[in-house]
Amino acid sequence: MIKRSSAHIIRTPRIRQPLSAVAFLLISFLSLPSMAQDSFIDDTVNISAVTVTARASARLEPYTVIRIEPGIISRNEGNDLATLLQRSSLLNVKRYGNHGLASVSIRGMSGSHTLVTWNGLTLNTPGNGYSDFTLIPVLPGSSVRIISGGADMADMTGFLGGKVELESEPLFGSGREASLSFGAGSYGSFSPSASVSIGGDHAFARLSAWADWSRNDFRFVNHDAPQGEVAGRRTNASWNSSGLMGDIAYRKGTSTVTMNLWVNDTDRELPGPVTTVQQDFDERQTDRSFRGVITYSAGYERFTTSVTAGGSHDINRYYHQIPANNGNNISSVAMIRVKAGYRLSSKTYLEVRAGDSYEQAKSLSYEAEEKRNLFSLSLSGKSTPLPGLNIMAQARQVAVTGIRVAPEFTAGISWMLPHNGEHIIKASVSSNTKIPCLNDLFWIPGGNPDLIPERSRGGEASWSFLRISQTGLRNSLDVVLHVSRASNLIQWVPGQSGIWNAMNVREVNVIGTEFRAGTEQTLHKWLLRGTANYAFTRSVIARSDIANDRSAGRQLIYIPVNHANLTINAVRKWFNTGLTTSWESRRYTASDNSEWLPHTFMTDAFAGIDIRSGKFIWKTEVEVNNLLNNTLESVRNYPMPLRTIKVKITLTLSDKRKSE
Amino acid sequence: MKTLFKTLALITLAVANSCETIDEPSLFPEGEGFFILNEGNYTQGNGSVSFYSTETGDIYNNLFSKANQRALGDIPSCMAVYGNTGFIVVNNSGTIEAVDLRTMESLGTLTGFDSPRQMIISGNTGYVSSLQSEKVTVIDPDKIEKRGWLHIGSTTEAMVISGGRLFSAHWSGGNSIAVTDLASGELITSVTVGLEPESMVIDRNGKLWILCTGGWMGEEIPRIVRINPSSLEAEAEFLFRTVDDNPSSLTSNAAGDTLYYLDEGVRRISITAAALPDAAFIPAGDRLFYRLMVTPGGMIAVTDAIDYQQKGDLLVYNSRGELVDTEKAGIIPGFMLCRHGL
Repeated sequence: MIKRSSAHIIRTPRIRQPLSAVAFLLISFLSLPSMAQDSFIDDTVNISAVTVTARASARLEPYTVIRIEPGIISRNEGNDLATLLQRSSLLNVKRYGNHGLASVSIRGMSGSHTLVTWNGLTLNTPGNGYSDFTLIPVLPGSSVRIISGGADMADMTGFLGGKVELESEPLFGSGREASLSFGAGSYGSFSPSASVSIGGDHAFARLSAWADWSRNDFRFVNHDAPQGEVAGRRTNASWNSSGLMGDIAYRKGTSTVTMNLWVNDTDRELPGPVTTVQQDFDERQTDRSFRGVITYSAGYERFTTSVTAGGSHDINRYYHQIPANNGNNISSVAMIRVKAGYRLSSKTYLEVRAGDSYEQAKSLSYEAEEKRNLFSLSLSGKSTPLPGLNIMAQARQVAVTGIRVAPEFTAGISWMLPHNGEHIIKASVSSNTKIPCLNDLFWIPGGNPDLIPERSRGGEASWSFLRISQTGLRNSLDVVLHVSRASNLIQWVPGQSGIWNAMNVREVNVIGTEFRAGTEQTLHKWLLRGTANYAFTRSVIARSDIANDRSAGRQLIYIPVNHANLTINAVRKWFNTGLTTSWESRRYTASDNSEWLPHTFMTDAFAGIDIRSGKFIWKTEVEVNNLLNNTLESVRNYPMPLRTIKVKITLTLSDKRKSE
Repeated sequence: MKTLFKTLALITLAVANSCETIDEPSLFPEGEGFFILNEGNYTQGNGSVSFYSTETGDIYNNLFSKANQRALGDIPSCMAVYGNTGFIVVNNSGTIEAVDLRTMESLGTLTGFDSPRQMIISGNTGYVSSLQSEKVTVIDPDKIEKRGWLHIGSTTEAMVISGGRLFSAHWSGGNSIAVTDLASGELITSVTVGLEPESMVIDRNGKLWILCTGGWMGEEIPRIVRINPSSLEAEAEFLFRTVDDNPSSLTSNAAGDTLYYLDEGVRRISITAAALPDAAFIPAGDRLFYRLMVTPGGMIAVTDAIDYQQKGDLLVYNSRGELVDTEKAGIIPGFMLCRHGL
């Protein structure tokens, strides 16, 4: 039997090693004489905007690109990416309880249709095609972009729902900074972290380390207990995660080399569902991943080029009280990608991308180690035939071992109406594919090597408004209409033999609209920021090859028709406060929509003070999650905590100059 | 104004009194029929109970939650009857709900089971098999409490009792039937049959028939084995066609002279037959038959779980194999049990 207990998981000394190493570096760094530079230009703390809006470059793309504001990322440092996206975007997060496996779906598709990349490296494991967003920490210096729909073809393979893009941005010329942070919260949650960064004119280096552990034995309400409604405590739910991330960059002239490394180690107990009584199957899972990417980019007159090479190695082990149920999944990816661009004229730009990815995966449920090679070639052209008018066309062909893949294309247009670029109208159409994951192809029993890629055809039209006042205040509104039809969707269905098989069985129609509004106002000495987002998504099964299937015309399970969130933030000098609230309408849990989870309403509140003294910044943040103490379930019978409190203290020593 | 209040109070009182005299309508009718346990989706806790009246041809769904205002639990897998009390084994919740078979109201909940799977009652003692424990739990159905355990030495699923002996199938990865003397509680022996014995039935001659699926991965050809429960010797063995066959749900008619099972439809075989039938008595067609039961009146009830994510169908055939009714049951309709004389 696997040795398992909360004490074992939480107190393992291995977890502290990377943190200790960085703490040592940090102390060493702090002992260095600091450069005599003006650290801060303003006498007030500059807290980044908390709006989620499309930035200028993203606004010009003919499809929806959202960049999560650094202020929101900063406030969510120490949380996982699923939490960040849940609070700040219209993505649907499906989570098996607190710290449980979390997948993210975009525009009515499932979590397997969401691509996740980190500095160009795909994070979706080749085995199951998913990425567990709980395992991705929000770190200083992270950049998060969301691309809705499958129109973007910057990557080697397609996706149907959308993409979450993570980047570690090198901050050349930013000076030196070191920070230590310590968070503590309800139910034995602790999250220390440390980072150091040095940004010169030609070189940049950053090292971050973090740990996060929790007993996670939170209180919840069991409405279905045999004795009636009772309060309970979660068992077998402890969580322990740690990691290291390093970023190094060097530039000379127009050439830049960056290297990113990421080691992640997570050990968590998996609580069972609360089905009248709380289940406990003694389940536990460990996830270890090693990832690295090197990118060289250069430009010479009309030419631009970049080469990206990287790889990942993921080890996932699952333990059950019955050893025969244990799992051991290992997957590796090695990739190289070359991009070459040429500016034909001041109005036209062409780009060729080619890449190769080698994937291999082992599982106790595979007959042998499965391997495949994926080659991708894409062409892209952009033109500005008239002032403010941008036209874009892309095409991609993917060749995969043993699978025939149809070509993909995207065509789009964006038109910046005259008037200081405040109004942009844009539209795009695209045809995309997603290749089956290795589990769908080779899992025994039921894997189906004859699966064909899933396919989506669709488009969107949108209007984007952005007004920036002379004082720098921003007001924005984005309205998007999107429609798509996904076919050949892969689902595991039971057969006459009693074995479930992966099959291309369903078609799904998606139609939806999204609204995003952001505003910044001043009131006396307060700076007020607010954002409101709303999505209406009808994602219905249009056709099914399953006999007697009554799901046609029904909403896909776990996709809410209505989803909205609202963030309000008030800042005055060294004090800031605000709240985030989100609402999801009912989420169906049966394919014929006969059962559902009720709508959820979640409100978080936060407040913080920033005290500055010379080169030191002392930041204290308090966060109250689920302020209204609502009973919540993201996945049926996997309760989320009632009200929780978290306090985080960050000490930063910085001689940062303004970043370039 | 006072008069008005008095009048209103009197009217309210009169309405309240008149309400008390009206009986609550029953959730489901009396008379002949059978219960269907809808397993629901694994970990979703949406198992439910339906009742199909063979007299009216109507189905009544979600009986437990309607009667008790709470969920039944995760994967109700079996039901045993003790007088007017039904014991519903809720596998993945690790509970057994005792219910009044006339109203479906809960009489008590037994908790703390380790993957309980099936239950059988003999005299005033119930036995509960387990997919994860090597013990069969002994239940006192009168007091609705645990009485003890039988140490079987393997996990168990299907059970029958014959001649004071408990025959429990080691289904999950096993290939044997454990034989336990109920008087002493001692394990007598273990009889090797085929891989993964899934269902068992006693025929009119007292012979034990065992359907072995051959393993969920198709390790060996499925078979039906007939055993003499006294001598414990195998008397006959019927092999299916290939390892890809997936028979299940062996049962018998009320007379115990004909066996029924699922194998690409409903098949039946006389207990005196020399070979398995070549063709299905009721072909599955585009249906995915999941569970099977034959009523004392000869009706054949089959469930279709469709995609296992939506409410499934109950299909009722007459004794000639003609479809007489189709009803929508709960999610993954599975185990069925007749109710008589209530």
